[in-house]
Amino acid sequence: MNRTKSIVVATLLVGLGLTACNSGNMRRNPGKIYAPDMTYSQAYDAYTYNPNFADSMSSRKPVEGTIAMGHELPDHLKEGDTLAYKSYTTALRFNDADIKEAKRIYDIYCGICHGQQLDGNGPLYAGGEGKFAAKPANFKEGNYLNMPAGQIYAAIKYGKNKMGSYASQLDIKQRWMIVAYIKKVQSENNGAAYTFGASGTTTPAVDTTKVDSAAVAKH
Amino acid sequence: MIRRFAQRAFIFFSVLLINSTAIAQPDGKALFTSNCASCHHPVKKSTGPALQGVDGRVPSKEWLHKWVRNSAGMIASGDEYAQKIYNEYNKTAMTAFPNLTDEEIDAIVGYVNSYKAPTTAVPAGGGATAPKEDNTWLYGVLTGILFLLGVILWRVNSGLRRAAHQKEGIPTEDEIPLYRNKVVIALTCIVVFIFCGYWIVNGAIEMGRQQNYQPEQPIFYSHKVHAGINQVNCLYCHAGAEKSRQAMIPSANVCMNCHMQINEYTSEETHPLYTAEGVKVNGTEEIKKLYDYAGWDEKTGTYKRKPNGEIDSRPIPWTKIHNLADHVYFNHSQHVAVGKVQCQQCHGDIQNMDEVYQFSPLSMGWCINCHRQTKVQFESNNYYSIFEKYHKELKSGEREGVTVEDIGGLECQRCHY
Repeated sequence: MNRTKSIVVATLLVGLGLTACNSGNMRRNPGKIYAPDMTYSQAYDAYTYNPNFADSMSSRKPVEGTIAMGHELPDHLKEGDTLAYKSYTTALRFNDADIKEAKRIYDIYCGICHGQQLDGNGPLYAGGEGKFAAKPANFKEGNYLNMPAGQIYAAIKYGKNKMGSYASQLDIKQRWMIVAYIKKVQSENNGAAYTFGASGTTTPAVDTTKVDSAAVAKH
Repeated sequence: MIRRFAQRAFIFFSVLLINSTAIAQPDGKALFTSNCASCHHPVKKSTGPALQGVDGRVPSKEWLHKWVRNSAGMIASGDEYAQKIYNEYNKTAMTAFPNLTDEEIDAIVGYVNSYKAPTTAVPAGGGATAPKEDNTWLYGVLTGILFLLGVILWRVNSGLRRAAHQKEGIPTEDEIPLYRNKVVIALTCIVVFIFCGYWIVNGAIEMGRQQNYQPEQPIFYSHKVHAGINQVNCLYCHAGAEKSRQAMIPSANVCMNCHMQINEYTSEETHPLYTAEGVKVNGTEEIKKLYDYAGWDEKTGTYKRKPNGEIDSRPIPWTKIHNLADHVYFNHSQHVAVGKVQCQQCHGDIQNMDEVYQFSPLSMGWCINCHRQTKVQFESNNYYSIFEKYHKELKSGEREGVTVEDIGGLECQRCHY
């Protein structure tokens, strides 16, 4: 009898103990795990605290002077050199599929302020009623309509007035894709003629995996 | 007579003309929006100063007219007030507007002075919805009382019956106590076995999984405010989700893209913030915490710099929520860019979460289940062009679709290596 009792009590306790590891709908505690060394990386993972660097970050910047595979060559602009911005341009050309992709990127990163219609009236500004007090540039009028492409590129890279730098979110090719998209829409709204089009504007999308390897071979 | 009529007509038309010029006065609001609003706000400090009451601050009206048309020239000429304002705003030169006339500038000043910040309508009843009260304890107490009542009635009933039997002289059997009643013991054992078995098995399976894990974060960052109410795209901050293995935790400079300008939480009435425990959160204070991490000096509107010129910031120590075991490989770009999986499929209704919790169990069964059911987007997706056999079969109608399993999504080495 005593034995039965103790078995029942032991089972109850183990059950309660295990359920305690995962209880309730809201939990502030991650709970226990079977093998912590198989779950939590022993090596420094991205975003983990790293005691080896003064800034404690495991994610490091690329080594200076290196270019990641398949990425564009770096520009050599200097922040604040506005004269150089104006004459700066790219040899990149974009076909229809690229422009479609550029619109998608623009809508994500720029549209929130500059508006998906490029009219400087995104959801954050909303005609002055929104959260963002400064009026974002309206690409369809005034100084912006015929702003040199390099100047727009520099604004994306370094930021301008109350606009921050987007260099950490957009790589060089994506920045130029956005510039080309803006220029294309501007050319349809009394702006200067669009010059970033690829010669065969109707070529179908190419195999990106193959293009990448070709680009790698070139570098 | 004719002369008098002509006189009257002249007066009439001249009054009309004066009126019409009054109507054609420059529209201050339109001028402000198209020329000034990208750097100035009537009541908020932006790239330039807040403009309300500007005519009272500057030396004279003529000074203001000159400044608007050629600010650089005034700074160069050594005007005291011009130099002061230039230095105060980090030597950001104001664009010259040589085309604006005195009347137009006055109209802008008139608009700016009459500007009133839009007040958000407070919904009736204050709108502050406290978290719902939990009623389960009430039901628990009621059930307990009913159960107790049942036991009392049963005891009274058997006591009465025994008394009746004694009176009538019918011999009564000794009542066996509950804890020695074989039926009761057997039933209790079965119930305990089932419940404990459920507890143990469930607890053992769930141990190591962290579904619903909702840690407290160093800054009360509400995904509902950002991704829901303000419609910021997920990829805006998590740009890495379609480029790399990590979805990317945005660095403070991405926050500052908007928060250089937005320095207070203004939706207090429409969407007050509460922690999961129901504690009120002051949104503006949370933005101040961000400034502290980002090294942003709100007063001067610049970043604080270390002696070597670097921005004096430090990383925000966010607590990681989704801890996929280290022996599992997972790649965001494979799912987001190639597989076109929506963020919400794994992360749940994230645009409605103030504090994020882990929506999915992240168990192997959960992964496998999705890999078995999900059809890969094969059409117009160059990533899968090498699967020629499947492409042929799809074309001939032999095959309806290709699941992740068909292209090796259940192979062990796909995720464990």
